[in-house]
Amino acid sequence: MPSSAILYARRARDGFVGLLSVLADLGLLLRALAQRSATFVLRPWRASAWNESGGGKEPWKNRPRPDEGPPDLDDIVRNLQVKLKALFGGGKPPETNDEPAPRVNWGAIAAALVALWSLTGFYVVDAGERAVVTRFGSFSEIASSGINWHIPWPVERRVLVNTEEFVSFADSTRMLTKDEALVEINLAVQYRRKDPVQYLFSVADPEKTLGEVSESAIREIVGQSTMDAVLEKGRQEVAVRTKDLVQRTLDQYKTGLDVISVNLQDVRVPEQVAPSQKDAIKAREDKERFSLEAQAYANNILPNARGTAQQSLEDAAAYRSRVVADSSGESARFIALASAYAKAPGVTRQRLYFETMEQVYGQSAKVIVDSKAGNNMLYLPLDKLVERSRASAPAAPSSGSAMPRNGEVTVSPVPASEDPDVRSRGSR
Amino acid sequence: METRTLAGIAAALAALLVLTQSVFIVQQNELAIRSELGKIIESDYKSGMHFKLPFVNDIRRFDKRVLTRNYPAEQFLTSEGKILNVDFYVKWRITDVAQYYRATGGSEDAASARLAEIVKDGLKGVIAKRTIQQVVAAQRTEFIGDMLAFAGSSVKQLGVALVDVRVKRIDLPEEVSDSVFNRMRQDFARQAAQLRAEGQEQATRIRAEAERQRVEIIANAASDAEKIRGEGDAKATDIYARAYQKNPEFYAFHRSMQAYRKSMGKEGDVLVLAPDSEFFRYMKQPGSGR
Repeated sequence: MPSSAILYARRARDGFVGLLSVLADLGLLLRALAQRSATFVLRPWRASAWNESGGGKEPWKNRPRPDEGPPDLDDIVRNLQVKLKALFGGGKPPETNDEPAPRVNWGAIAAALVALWSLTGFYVVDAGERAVVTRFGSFSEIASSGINWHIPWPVERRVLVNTEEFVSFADSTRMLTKDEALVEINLAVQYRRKDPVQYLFSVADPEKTLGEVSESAIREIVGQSTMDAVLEKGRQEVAVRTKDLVQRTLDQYKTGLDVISVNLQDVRVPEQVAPSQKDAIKAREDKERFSLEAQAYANNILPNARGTAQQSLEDAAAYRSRVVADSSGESARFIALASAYAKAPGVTRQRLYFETMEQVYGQSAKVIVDSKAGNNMLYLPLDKLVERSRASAPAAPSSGSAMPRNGEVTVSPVPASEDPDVRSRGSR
Repeated sequence: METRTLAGIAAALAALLVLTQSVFIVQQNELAIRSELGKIIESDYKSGMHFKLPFVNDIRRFDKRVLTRNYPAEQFLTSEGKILNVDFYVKWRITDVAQYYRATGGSEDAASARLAEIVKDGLKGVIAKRTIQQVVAAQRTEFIGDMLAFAGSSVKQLGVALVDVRVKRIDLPEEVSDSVFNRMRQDFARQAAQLRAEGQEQATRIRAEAERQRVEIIANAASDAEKIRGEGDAKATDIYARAYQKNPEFYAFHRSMQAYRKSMGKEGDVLVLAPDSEFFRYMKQPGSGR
């Protein structure tokens, strides 16, 4: 390598660096102006962790940083003038001497060009966006929403990243559960690009990575759960665990993505199995229904039984009251009758006897047989007699009202117990 | 004058050309090597602007980010001799650019093909040691842990580092999916039968319990009712006895009269009488008064 070439290259480099230095100062000037103006809101935020300065290799990085204190406008302007003179003024003194009249003001043209160039550094960052600015490819700063300025191409570049937007990723796959059954899951992952720097520089295609990680994660979590758990109660848990796993893995890769939610929108068995599953679900309902029906039956018969029980108790109590009342009534009557009887026993006794017999004989057919008359052979057509007396009797039904509990069957038209007349007349 | 200007312009253009040829920019997400006539001179570049000799130096750039390669599903044998279709992805990063360039010629495809071989060997070993269920239920990280350690040294020769190897799909081959469906169907049928039987069991138990309670309730009530009736009867008997004891002879007479009235002399009765009772005394002997 000839040393003159290297020398030349060095000189060219110095000149180039000088030019860049001027541009950088111009940038500072514009930035300072922008910061002063009330109409622009500029908050250049500097992520110092990412700001790996190249050190002595890059002289334009040694200028005062705008965030190291309010830049002094006058200083910057003076500095700029000096540099411009060094660049344009120093090189060509003879030409300016030769033709003073039509002298082209190269400095002015260059200044105008530089001004135009510097205008291309303005850019707008929308709400929810961040601009990542790189200087010669190296990360320099993050700018937030508003109007911003960076040193124009080719020194600095910007990439806009939307950090607030919720982005969705959906996937539908069939996978194996722990008990070697197949389930189909519709998975939806919502995420946002939280860290634009990691998002841009750490992983090739972070969004595709998210898809891969989600798929792997849901399969892992489902693979650790039984089918029943996935289909029913574990659904929420599967989603939560998947979210954790996805986030952990994404952080490990430094994708800069933030998982907001993982939803299992649809969890089902493959359609080949769906009818059987439906039947199983129906069986669960059947089970419920069977016991509910039985419960309803029990709820019906138990109150009935209690009612019946109460009724028989009340019946018994009524019986008790009745027989006691009957007995005391009859006793009282007997005692009264007996005391009356005691006053005239003979007559009363006969009266009662005759009254009774009168009634007994008075209402029935009679055959009086005076056996002492000596006629031992007596023809009595009893059946005919009975027949006739039956016919003459009123066609009374066989007195169903007689009390069956006593087991007595009576042909009496008037039940004995309901015939107070008999007794009262007897007592008289 | 004109030639001077032209020469000036030419010089300026040449200078510009040389200038652009002597700088290069390494992006934040890039790695670069500078080589001279095929020999790597420098490979440790930070992002930013760097200088080179124009026309002589050659710059190659590589991706510094984590790179991904997905591999289609392949069949692996489990420890019980069953086939599993497994696909996976590999995340890797270039760590030593010079080594990487020498080993792969800088081709991502070549690198990932080599990686695939290494990873597949590892996976084969890992899966062969486990049953299907262990493979399916394994934590993917634990699953991959051994393999990363095993692959680490072979991967280093490629100038890359494995960031992660992750299994995505673990599936049974299509041919056995029918048997899986059958098993699932049987599973559901068994579940359904069991649920229904349990339902019947519960229903029968509830019914039987209710029946028992009903019988108990009614029987208890009947027993209580008899007790109450007995009380009534006892009390009534007591009352009767106390009253009738005052004049037993009259009671017998009185009660007989009542009984006659109740039991005889109803319409339709036919009485065959011998007229020798007290009742008929005056019928036969009207005159013989006392």
